[in-house]
Amino acid sequence: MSTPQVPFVRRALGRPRITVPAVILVLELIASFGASWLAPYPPQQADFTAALSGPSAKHLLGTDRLGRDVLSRLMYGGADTFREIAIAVLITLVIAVPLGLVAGLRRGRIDAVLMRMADVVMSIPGIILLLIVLALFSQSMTAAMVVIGLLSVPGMMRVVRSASLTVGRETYVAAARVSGLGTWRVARRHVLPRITGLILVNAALACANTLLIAAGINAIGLGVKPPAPSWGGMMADAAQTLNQSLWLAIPTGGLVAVTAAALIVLGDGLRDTLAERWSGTSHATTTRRRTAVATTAAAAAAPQSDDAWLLAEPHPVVRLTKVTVTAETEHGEVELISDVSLAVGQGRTVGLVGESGCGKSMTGLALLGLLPNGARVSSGTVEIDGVDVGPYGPAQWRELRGGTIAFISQEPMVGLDPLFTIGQLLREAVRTHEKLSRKEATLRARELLEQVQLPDPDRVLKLRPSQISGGMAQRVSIAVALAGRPRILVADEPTTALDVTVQREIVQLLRTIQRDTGMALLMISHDWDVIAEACDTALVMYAGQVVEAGPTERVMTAPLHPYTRKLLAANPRLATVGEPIPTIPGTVPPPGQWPVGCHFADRCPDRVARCTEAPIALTQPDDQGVARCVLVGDELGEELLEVSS
Amino acid sequence: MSTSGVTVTGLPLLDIRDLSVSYHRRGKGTPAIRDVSLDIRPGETVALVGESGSGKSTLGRAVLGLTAVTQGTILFDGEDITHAAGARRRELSKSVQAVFQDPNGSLNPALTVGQTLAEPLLVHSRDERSVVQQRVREVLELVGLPAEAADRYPRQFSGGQRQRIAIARALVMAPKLIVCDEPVSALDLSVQAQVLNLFTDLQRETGVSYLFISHDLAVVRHLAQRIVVLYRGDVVEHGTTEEVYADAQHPYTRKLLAAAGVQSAAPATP
Repeated sequence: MSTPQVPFVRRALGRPRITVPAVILVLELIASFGASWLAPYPPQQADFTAALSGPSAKHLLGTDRLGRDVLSRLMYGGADTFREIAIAVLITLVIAVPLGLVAGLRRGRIDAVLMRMADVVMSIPGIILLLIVLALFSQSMTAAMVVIGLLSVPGMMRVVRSASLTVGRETYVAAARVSGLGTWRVARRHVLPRITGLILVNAALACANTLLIAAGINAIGLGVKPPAPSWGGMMADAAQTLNQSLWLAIPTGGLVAVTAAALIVLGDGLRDTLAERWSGTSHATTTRRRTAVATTAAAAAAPQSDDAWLLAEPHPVVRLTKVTVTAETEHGEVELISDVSLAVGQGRTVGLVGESGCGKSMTGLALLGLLPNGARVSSGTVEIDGVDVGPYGPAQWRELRGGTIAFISQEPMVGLDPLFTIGQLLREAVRTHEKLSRKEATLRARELLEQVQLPDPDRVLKLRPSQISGGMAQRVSIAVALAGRPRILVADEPTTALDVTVQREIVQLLRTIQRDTGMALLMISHDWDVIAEACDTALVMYAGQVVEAGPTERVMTAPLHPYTRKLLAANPRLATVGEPIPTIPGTVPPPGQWPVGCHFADRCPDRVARCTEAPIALTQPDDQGVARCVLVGDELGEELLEVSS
Repeated sequence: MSTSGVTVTGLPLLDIRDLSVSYHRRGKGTPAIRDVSLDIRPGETVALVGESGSGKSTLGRAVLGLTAVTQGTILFDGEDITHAAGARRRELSKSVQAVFQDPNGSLNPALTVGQTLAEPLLVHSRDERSVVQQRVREVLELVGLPAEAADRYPRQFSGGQRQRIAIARALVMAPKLIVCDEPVSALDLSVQAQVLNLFTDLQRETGVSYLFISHDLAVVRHLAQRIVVLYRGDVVEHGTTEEVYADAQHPYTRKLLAAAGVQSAAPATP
C-alpha cells in the first residue's frame, strides 16, 4: 500500500498500550530463540544440591526439584511454545480469512455451503479429536497444533464473514464494483483494510488461547516428553511440588499469564491505532497540542452586539443570551458557535437557516442540553420558561426534555426502535410523562396519532417502524415528541430526508399543531421554502454566528447581509433554466479556522478592507431586524453606523 | 433541442425495453418496476423522477448490473447487456459509471482520495504510476478540487466536496454514461447548485450522457432534456422537460410539480 506508514509507526510507539506488551513479547522471543547463546545453563543440567531453591544470584528464577535452572528451562521451552502458537494461528487465518470474505461478499449459494461446512466442523468435539491425534501421531505437538488451527477456522470465518457482510453493504463497495473490481479486489482493497483490526483482535485472542491449550497439553504430559523443557510441563512440575515450594509456580504460571495478557492487549492497541489513520479520532495528538493554539476569535475583543431585537419575543419560552459553545479538539479549545442570541415566544416559530457546518444544529443541541461529548456552553445563558438552566444536572435535563422541550430530527427512523410497535413506543413515551393505566395510555397514543393526522390510527398502532414510510415515520416521531405536551419543539431539518411531496405536508402539520397547542417551534433548515412556509422570524447563521435576523418575509425579500442574498439566490428552484445556477464560491470555514473579522469575508463579493480588521458586531438599522455586516448602513444609503466598538 | 446547448445526436446510447425487476421475499416476487422503456442518446440527460419506493433506484441499479433483471432488455451502444457479468461487466464499467446519493458512504474512509480515484485505472490498465497520478490530477481539476486533495482522506472534506470526489471517480475512465442516483439530495441547496452546475459543465466538456435519478423536479429541470416519471414501478409520464413542465398529463406529475414549487417562491435578486 502506498499509505504513509511512518505516522502509524510513530503513533504506535507513543502508546504504552502497544509498546509495553510489544517489548515484553519481543524480549520473550529473543530469549527463547537465542536460548542456546543467552541461557545461563543448559536445560538439562541438574544441580541436586540446590534443588527447589528460590531466586538467587546463581539462579535468577530459582531451580526445580532436580535443581535445574528455571530461567534457562523457560528460555529453552519458549521457542517451541511460540512455534506452536504460530502454526495453529497461521493455519486458522490462512483458511478462515479468505473463506469468510468470499462468504460475506458473494453471499448466495457459496455462503450457504461454507456456513454449513463451518457448522459441521464446529460440532466436532475438539478435546476428543485432539487426544486421538496426539495418540496417533506419538504426542506430536505439531499435529496437535494443526488440529487446533483447523478447529478454530469456523469461529474466525464467522467473524470475518459477518464483518464483510456489513462492509459489503456500504455504498463505496457498490461504487467499486461499478468501477469494474471483482470480488477479490473488492475484498483486498475495500473490505480487508476495514476489518483488519477485528481480525487482529481475534488473532490475538486465538494466540492466547492456543498458548493456554498447548500449556495444558504439556501439563498433562501428552505433548513434549520430559525431560525436554516446556512451559506446560514446568507448570505441572510446579504443581506437584507445590507443598514443598510455592515459588516455582510463580515464574512458570506467571510467564504464561503475562504472555497471554500481552498478546490480547497488543491486539486491542493495534486495532485502535489502525482505525485512527482514517477515522480521525487521535488521542495522542489531543494531549500533545492542547496548549498550543489559543482560540482565535475569542482572543480578539468582541464588540458590543445589538441583541435587543433578537431577544424581543413576546412570552419567550426559551431564550439564549450570547451563548458561546466550545469544544476540546486536537487544535485546542475551539468555538463551535459564537455569541448566539435568540428567543422563541409562545406559539411562535423561529427559523435557523444556513449551510451545513454553520452551527444551526449545535445551537439546537445547546438548547436541548444535548451537546456532544467535549462540547460545553462556555459563556452566555440558556433560559427555559424564564429559568437559567446553566447549572442543571442530567436528572433535571431529563425532566425538561420530552416534557417542556421536545426534539425531532432529520432521520425519523433512527429514533424509532425497530423492535417495538408504534403503539408500544407511543405508550412508553406517554407513560414517562403521565401516570396512566395501560388502557388510558393506548387511548392517548391513539389521540396523538390523530393529532399528527395519520389515517387509520388503530392500524398504525400495531405496525412496526420497518413497515411504515419515511413520511409516516416523521409523523410518528412528531407524535412521540408531542407525548409530553411540550412547550417548545426543536425540529432539526425535519423535512430534508423526505420526498418533496411529503415535505410540505410535514411543515403544514407542524403549523397546525402549533396553532392548536400554542407550542413554540425552533425550525432548523437549509431550505428557504420550509423557512418561508413555517417561520415568523428567520435567523441566518454563518460559521457559528447569527449574521442576520428579521421577520421571514423581510429577510427573504429584502436581505441585508451579503451571505443571506447569496444563499437565497443559490437555490436550484429559483434559478433560470439554461443558465448556470448562482452559487457561493468556496466552502464554510470549519470551527477553529474562522477569521478574526467577518466570517464570510473570503466568499463575499462586496468585501472591503474594514471587513477583515476586527470582529463585526450585530447592528440594527431599523425595527425590521439585525445584521452583522459593516456595509449594512451604506447599503441602506443612510451612512449610518460606525461598526467597531 | 434543449436549452442547455448540448448536442444530442444519433442512435440511443442506452436503450431500455420493457424492463421488469422483481425482488423475491419469502418466495413471493414483488415487482419493483414493470415494463419500463426509455432511451438516452449520446450527450443527453434523461431524468428519472419519482418518490421513494417508485423503483427509480432499482432501474439505475439494473443498468449498473447491481440488481438482476427479471424481464426485458438493456441495450448499450447496440449491445445487449441485460445479463452481462464477470469480465464483460468489468469491460462495461469503462463506459458506464455511477454517482450515488450518500457522499459519506460512497467513499471508502480508509483510502485516500488518490487511491480511490486510481482504482478504476488499476483495474483496467497497467499504466505507469506517473500516468495514473496524472489522470487523477486531471479529474480532480475537472471537478474543481486542488491536486493536493489526492493525499487526503474523505473525512477531511465537506459533503459537497465529497460528492465532487465521487463524480471525479466516475469520470476517471471517461465513460459514455453516468448513472446519477439522487446525487444532490443529501446536500444543502447552495451546494446542490454548485454540483448541478458541475454536471452541466462536465457534459458540455466531455459529451457524457446522464441517467439522472431524483425525487425533485425542480432540480432535474436544469439538466434534463427529457423526463420520465415513475410511480409505483410504472412509467406514468414521459416527455421533453418543456412538455412535462408546460402540460403534465398524469396527476402524480402535477403533484410533483406543485411540490417542486418552482413558480411559487419569490425570486430574490441580488
